[in-house]
Amino acid sequence: MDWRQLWEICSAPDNVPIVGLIPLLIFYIYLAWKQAKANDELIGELETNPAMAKTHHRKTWPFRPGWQKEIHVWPFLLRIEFLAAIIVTIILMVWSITLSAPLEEPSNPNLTMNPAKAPWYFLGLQEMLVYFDPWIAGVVMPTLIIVGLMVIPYIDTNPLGSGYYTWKQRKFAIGTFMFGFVVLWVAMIIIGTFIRGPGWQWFWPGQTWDHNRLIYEVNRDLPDLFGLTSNLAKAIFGAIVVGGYYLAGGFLVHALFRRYNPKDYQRMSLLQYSIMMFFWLTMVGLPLKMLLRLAFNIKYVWITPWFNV
Amino acid sequence: MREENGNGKNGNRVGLLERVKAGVKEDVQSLKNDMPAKAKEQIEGLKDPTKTQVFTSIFRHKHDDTPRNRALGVLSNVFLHLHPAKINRDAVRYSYTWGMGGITFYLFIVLTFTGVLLMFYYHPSKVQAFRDVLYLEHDVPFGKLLRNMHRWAAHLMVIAVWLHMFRVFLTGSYKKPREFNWNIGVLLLVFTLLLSFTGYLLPDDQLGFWAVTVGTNMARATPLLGHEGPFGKMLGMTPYNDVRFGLLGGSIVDANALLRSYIWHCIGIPIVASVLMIVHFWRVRKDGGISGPAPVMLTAEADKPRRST
Amino acid sequence: MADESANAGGILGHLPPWPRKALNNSVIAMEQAYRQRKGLPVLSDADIEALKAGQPMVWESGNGGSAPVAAPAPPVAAAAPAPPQAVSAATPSAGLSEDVAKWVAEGRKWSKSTIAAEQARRGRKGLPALNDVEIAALLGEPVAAAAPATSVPATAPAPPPAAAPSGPISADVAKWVAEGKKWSKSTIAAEQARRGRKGLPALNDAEIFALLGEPAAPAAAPATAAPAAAPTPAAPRPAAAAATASVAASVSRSGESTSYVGTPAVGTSRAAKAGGIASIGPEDSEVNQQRRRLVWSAVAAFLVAWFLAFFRFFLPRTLFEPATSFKIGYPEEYGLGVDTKFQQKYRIWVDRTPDRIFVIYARCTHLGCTPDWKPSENKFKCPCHGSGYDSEGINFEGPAPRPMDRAKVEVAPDGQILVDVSRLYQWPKGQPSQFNDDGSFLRA
Repeated sequence: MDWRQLWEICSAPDNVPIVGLIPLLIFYIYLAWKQAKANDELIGELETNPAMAKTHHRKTWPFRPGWQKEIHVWPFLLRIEFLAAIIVTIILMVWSITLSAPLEEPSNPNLTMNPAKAPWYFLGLQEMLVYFDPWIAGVVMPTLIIVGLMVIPYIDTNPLGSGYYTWKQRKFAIGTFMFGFVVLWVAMIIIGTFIRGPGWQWFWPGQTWDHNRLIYEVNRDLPDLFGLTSNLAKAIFGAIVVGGYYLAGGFLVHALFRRYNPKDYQRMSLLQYSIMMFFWLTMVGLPLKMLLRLAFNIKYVWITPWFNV
Repeated sequence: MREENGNGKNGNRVGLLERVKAGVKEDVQSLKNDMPAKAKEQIEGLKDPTKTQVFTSIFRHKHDDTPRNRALGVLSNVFLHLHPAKINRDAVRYSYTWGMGGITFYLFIVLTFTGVLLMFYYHPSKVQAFRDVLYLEHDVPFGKLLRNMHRWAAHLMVIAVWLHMFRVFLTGSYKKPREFNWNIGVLLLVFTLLLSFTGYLLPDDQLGFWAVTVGTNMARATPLLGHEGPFGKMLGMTPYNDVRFGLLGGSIVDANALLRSYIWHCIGIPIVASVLMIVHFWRVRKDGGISGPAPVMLTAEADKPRRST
Repeated sequence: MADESANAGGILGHLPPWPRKALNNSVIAMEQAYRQRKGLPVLSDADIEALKAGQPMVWESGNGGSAPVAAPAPPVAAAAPAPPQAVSAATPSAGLSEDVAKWVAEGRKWSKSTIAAEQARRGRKGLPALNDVEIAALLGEPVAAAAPATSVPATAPAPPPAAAPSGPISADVAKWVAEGKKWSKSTIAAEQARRGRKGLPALNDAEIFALLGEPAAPAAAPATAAPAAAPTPAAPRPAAAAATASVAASVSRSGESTSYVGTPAVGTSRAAKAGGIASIGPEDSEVNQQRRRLVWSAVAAFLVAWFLAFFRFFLPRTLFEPATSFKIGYPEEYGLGVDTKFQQKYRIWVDRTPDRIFVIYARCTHLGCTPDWKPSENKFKCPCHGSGYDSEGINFEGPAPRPMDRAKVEVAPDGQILVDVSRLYQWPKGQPSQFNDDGSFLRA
């Protein structure tokens, strides 16, 4: 267990934000979960007791119950905002005084660092480069992520949970988002920061970053595994595989969604439903392809003269 | 005539002189008598600075604790009047909103301020950029502190933006009528990341140079628009006219790229982001303010027709 | 009581409380919960029934009663509550206060709006409001102080409170009602005002209800329920009378032209008091003041430190500027007169006279331009504003205030002339010349 290596990685100035992000994220997830739990309990009570539902208050965690319902922004909100600004400033100043921003050697186009990493917030995407072509990982994926985020409010037809934390009432939405954000985005960043070493090879935490380590990987393409040789055959095969994934996955998701979210299913129009399906399946396709690569050493699934997936 | 003008031998002149002398004596007398009292009165008046003309011309209302003046403190202040005069007391509770939106905005202001200061010592040219950063760190008083603050505030802002998005999602605050505001937020997220990315290159060190190289190399793989992307060659894309060329101002990450990065970072993107922020904050108010904590809604009530908010 | 005092001094004529729709369960539940929290007597079932039938809640009398207990007790109840009511409703049959007496003595009859303004002023300043007696006096009308007190016991016995305020409907009102057109509340208010102006008897509650097109609802229910519920002083028992009375009284007392039916404006200190809640906000204790001072001083100190750092930031410690000290060759290389060899490179002229070699710094002493050496005219001429200097740099024409400065010269170890333009010798007008100081020239 090479502690020094671990310390070197964690204390690199530009990695410190990620080291800080992890506990922050955990804390806020915990805070949200606590409130969701309280709300879900209240919802449970109210749903089992309709009479209570008519008269009982509908909020958990009231803030200063002795106060009036509406309070002046000046001073009550403003002082909290002021306090937040002060705390952020203190954190920032302490951090700036103790830790220096990195400045490495002057840029040299002829000498690439190893590993050459993108800024940490893009490391997730850089990790995708392992599994996908640059045009997918670098262009299509970010675009799909952005468009997918923008589409969320228009395909989410669940009217519950607007304005309060809940898990019970929005399992699908929250589960999907947390998978996409925490598992895919943040975890990829963590991998890109702490795990990927020289040559973008996989080093477990504590393993020394050996620049001379060579891992000989034989990656095969899926069509090759099936013995296809001609370009046409490969292209058709790949289309079938990808299309089949969307189809089969679509049926599976459809069955489960209809079973567990019947009301949402009824509320959604065909367009909303198809968009949701597309993005959901694409998102889940990512870890699947990663699995194919990591576990089975399969590189490409769909090969055409113009692009590879 | 002469005799009438005075009671002296020289007529006018003597009379005048006498009168002047008398007048002066009178003035002196009145000064001696009235001045101390008047002076005292005027000094007493200044003892309460809040009643002076200077003060009341700047501050147009009292700042005491009456409800009216508390409301005016917010509504009549150009910086604060984004807020409503009153908010629901539960919305003040930190654990609901986490304050991340406000923290992000505050960090943006800190970044603008520190950034402008850094601009006084930075030349966006290949020859000088790196040396300017060194100069800032060693020869400019507080230069190191400012650079560190700028960099760490940038990282913090990215983290705060993510946490903000996360919170908004968890509380369902993108649902009707806030869908558009969510999309503005997604755009702001993209621009925050781009701000960070363009700033990364500016020190012109190995870290920044290769990060941007990796990043922009992905652009050459853009479908249709990149010279190495699918169908790119067919549309006549070469390294000298594709989208990557447009980004870098050249085929390599060189002086042009540095200057463009600088302009995007300091002027282009901040202006766009500011406009989007204006819309974003405006929409928060117009869409009904902070979305909660809202009373929980039960499943049975979900599909009842409601008013549109 | 209500009518009399209203007629005597109401501002716009009194309006009855708006007949209310039946309360639903959630509001009642909220009220119950509130009472339980506060340890107040909770609503009984009878109360709840009455509320549902349309009785207003206790705070809706507009008194801002600090505790429901203090709410005006129904006049129906024994005479005992009556005096308290008279007291609460018309606190000061106490007579006129000093300044009011003075105003009355002045003889000028006050208008209702003036009285309202005076009431408002008193409210703002926290002075005791004008009481009915004073108002009546200021208005120049006979003091009706006795009236409220006596009218209360008058209504105390049997006739249900609903009856007293309701009253018989007069003929012309009955005619209007028969017309079938339902009057709006503002029309009724206008009619009341008209009557007030004309000195006509005001519309009573029954008439108002009739004109509004609603049954004189509050009549039966509260009357019967009241005695039963009399022991609960906290009960929302203000029957129409009391409510009207207190409404009218509050109108005349507070000087406001409308009476609140419902809670005082949310968030105001009055509402907080009405709800029995302590004024929101941190208490102004010594500790809190110290803390506030500490926080503000810390913020101020931080900003001051930043401010100073901000200014210091603009003064870098090292500069990369051209060297100020340089060599210009050997003295032998220079002949008599002005040599412009190094004007471009170092901004100097080398000047040799029979006994000296000195170096002129090529900056016009007017505003800093670089003059030109004109050999044909044997003078330096500045192109900017025409200053002229002779061949030794002494000014003789134009706006230049003094001769051009001379740079420090010395002989370097290797024999070359070493010039240092960071040390300049001047001859300011009217002051001794530095051109003979050591270092300002070399002996030729």
